[in-house]
Amino acid sequence: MKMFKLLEGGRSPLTGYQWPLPARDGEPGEWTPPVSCVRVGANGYHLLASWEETFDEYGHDLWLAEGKGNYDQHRSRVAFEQARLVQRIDSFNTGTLRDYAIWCAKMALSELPIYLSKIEVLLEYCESGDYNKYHLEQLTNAIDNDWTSFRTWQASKRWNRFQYYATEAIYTLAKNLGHVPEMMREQPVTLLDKAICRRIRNNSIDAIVSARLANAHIDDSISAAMHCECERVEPVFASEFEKRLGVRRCSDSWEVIE
Amino acid sequence: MKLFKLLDAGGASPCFGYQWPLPEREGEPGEWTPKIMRVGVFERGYHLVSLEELLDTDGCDLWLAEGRGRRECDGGIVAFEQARLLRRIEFTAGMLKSYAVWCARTALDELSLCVPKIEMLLEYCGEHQSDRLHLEQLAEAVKDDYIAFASFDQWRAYKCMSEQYRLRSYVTEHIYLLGTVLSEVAEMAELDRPPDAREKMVCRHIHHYAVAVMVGARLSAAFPEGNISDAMRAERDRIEPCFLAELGKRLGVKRRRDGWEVSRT
Repeated sequence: MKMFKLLEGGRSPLTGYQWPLPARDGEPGEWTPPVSCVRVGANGYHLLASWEETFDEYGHDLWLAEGKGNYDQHRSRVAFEQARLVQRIDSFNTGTLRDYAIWCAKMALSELPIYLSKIEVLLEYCESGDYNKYHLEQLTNAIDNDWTSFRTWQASKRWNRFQYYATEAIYTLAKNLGHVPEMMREQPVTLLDKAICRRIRNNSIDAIVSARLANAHIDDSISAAMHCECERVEPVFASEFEKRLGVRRCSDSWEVIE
Repeated sequence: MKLFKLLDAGGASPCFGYQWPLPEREGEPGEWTPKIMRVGVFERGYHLVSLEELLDTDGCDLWLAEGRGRRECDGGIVAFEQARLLRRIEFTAGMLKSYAVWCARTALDELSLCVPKIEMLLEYCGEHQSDRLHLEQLAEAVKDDYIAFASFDQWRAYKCMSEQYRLRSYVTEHIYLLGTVLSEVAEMAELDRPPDAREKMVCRHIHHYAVAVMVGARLSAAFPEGNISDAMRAERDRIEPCFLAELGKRLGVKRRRDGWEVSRT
């Protein structure tokens, strides 16, 4: 079963274990020594069954890795008896995370019926690759002010709740978008970079789901409608990230697209 | 055919000063006006208007009026050979204000997100005692946002001119225009008197911008194929009657096959 492993220079960021790296490009590394009584979070070689989890894990080098023998699984985390590194996924870098975050924000903004100029300008700024701390602060402060005054005022008001959710998601997205210009392409991926990217992705999905439901007439449970819309929207975001990483799922395993 | 006539207080025509024969008793029609030969819109004849033209027509006293004989029609304006006033209809600044607020509310509800400053302005419109300083600050902030959007839009237009972008730009522009005029609605204070020309213009603008916002928002969510102007016209034809029905309800009038009638006593 091929899954994902996050390392730092070949070492496990949590335990410091040095994984056997492939000796040659295109060939897998050695199998790790077998361990008995595998258990997630306790014992075994831990791989991730889904790339989504990589946003929450330490480590900046993403590998496609293979596990064999006994295993124990808890959600996306799988502890194997033995494992080996198959191929480094070079596209997992700050540039990819940054571009993906921008793509997510663009998707969300394009779903809205109006232009929120300040947020659109911030997005353009992120795309430009410029980084002027003063200019960026002015822009994010202006967006923050809009949001703060809205929140102060909105309490006790009559709302279409989806309108409110969409607005909240968009302004939260903008807040996170303000960190994107600080993501330096040449630097290794940090936990903060991953957190920003994940938040922008989630905010974007929330904004799209809420905006779509704001115009729909929901007769049944609101959470069921949101869940259902989420299931339509999320795969679009997932497949975009997979495309950017250059990986694809094949049954319960993953492969790198050459 | 029963339509509407707007006169000045006292029954004089605002354009020509012609004194219409007023009903002598409540509930009875006025005398028929003398016959006029060769009627022509804006030239000769007794001019009555449909509800659509009400906010564009001079005058502050609204009457249900009847026309007969030869007629000529141009849009919602009809010139008759003879006409008479049937019944005065309560037409106040307060009614226009509440209609303008309804239009803005309906347009804002159509959007899938809140536009905070414009929502705040709308709230001011519903308050009797508004904080003038705050209202001015808010109106200024909306204008600033509109200016920022306009320059952004101009710059954006160089980069992308897809129909989808144009529709979003159309909606955004009209929501800001609506916001800009909304501050004037908030200032309409004396509500029991007949509306003046400015108040009618403000209400007409709000009506127009609200319809535009709804047309653009619906189309931008629908991704129409084919000619966008045709799609907009078709959508406008669907939305406009809802707005006019609301105005009619507030005036207490109902459309009949042959013109209008008062539905509220």
